[in-house]
Amino acid sequence: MAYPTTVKDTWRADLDKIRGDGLYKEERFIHSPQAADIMVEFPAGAAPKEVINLCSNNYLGLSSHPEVVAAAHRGLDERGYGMSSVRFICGTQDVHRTLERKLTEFLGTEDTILFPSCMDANAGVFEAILGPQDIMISDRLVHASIIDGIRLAKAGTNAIHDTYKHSDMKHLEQKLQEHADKRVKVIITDGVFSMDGDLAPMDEIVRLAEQYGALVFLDDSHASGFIGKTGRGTHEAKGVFGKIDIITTTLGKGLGGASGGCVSGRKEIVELCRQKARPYLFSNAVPPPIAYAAITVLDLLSSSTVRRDKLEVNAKFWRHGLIEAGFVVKEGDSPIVPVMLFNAKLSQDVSRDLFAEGIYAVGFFFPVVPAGQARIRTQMSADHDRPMLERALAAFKKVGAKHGILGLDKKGIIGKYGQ
Amino acid sequence: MVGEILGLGQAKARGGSAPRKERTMKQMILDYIRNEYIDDDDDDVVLDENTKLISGGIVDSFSMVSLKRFIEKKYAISIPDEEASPEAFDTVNSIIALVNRHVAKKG
Repeated sequence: MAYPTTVKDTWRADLDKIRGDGLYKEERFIHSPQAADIMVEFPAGAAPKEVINLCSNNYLGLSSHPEVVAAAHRGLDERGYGMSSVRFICGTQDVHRTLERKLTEFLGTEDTILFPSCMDANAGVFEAILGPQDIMISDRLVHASIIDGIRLAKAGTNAIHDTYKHSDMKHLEQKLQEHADKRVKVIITDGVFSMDGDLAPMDEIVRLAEQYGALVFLDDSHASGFIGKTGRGTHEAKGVFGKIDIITTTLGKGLGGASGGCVSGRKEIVELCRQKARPYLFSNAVPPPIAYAAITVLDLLSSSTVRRDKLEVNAKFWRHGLIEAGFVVKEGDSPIVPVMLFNAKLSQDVSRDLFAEGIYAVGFFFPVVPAGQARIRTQMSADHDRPMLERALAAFKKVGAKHGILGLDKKGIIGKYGQ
Repeated sequence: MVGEILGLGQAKARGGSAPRKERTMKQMILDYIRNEYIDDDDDDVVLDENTKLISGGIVDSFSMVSLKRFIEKKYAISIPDEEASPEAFDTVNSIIALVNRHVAKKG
């Protein structure tokens, strides 16, 4: 009960600093199911406004899909709301194993273990399998959850860590040579990088791994369900399906959008996670409605590529439209299309003006992205239809013209607004 | 011993001085940073001994580990984690000060 004023003042000062640095995150309240168009209350207290959503991870539009919602209802009716237990005590139902088997088949691996989230999967896997003789070599732009997992493994096992320049295979090879004496070498990468939307060169990574006797770890959270011809992920897109030692992914994006994640890969790795991964051992099992819904998602995606095909068409239309309008867009081949503004304040101003035009897209700036790389990250969904995207494009053009950035290149925008 | 580590023996043999020694260490660290952290096609980065590396976004604190490892190996020192702070690694000048402290401690 002791809550000294000095402590309270310290934390208030921390919060004031976050506000002062312009980094305070305001949540916007959505008064509708997750979808391509949503009702948003912003600022707090304002009347909810209908906007086109360009910033969700609802890539395949399955978050509120009737068959997925119906499956979750069935799960609730047949297996209940929650397990009131971790998996190894009395929290494992038949549907958990069914889902794990289906994920194994979908991702092209040997076995799979569910986690409460992919954040937990990434936080738990390295510590469960590595020791002080081992090295983790990660791409410099991997997701924050992987960074946390690496930190935990360093602290808990004394495993060593190094990084390579983003998608730079020459640099990765140097690192593999430098650490050739280590027992286990794990190359760690995202499949699709969440801030830039580019794909990791998985074919070259696998080739180097084979050459230097390393394992490959792939976080395919922004790819599972839609990248590759049948949506299996970045490894499918790059022609190395079945050759990845460890895949982590989430059920919280393309694969349904609720929550839950997994480690999928070599049998022994999965088995070690079941025995040792702390976020798995000490968290409740994935709730039955989510397990049911995720099984339905995998069945839907295995029987048809219609949704991922539409997403691909939408992403091409959107990327092409932005470039033609004169925006600077990061190169890539995914539904993540970053509109580069370079200046943090400009990214916030553009985001605010877009919202006034009925478009929900958020500005990202340092430290979420490197300094001087501020942007609006837009994300396509299979649920966007052409009229929606045309409206969104018109709004982008209007706001871009207002700020005088259409047709300007990087130097031009920085010259006008600073970096 | 300290002189050897810093390449001081060589500098002395050529009639060199402390500033020359510092320049050598500075150049070595700058070269390492350029190769290790800056993309080949990135022409925007201006790098000198006062450039803010971590607070300036050139080196992220997570990737700093290879720079620390390079320095430890090069100068045969061990920098405890609590001293390898983002502040201590924020400029080449502050890194040089840190290295010199540890080299002197080694005697």
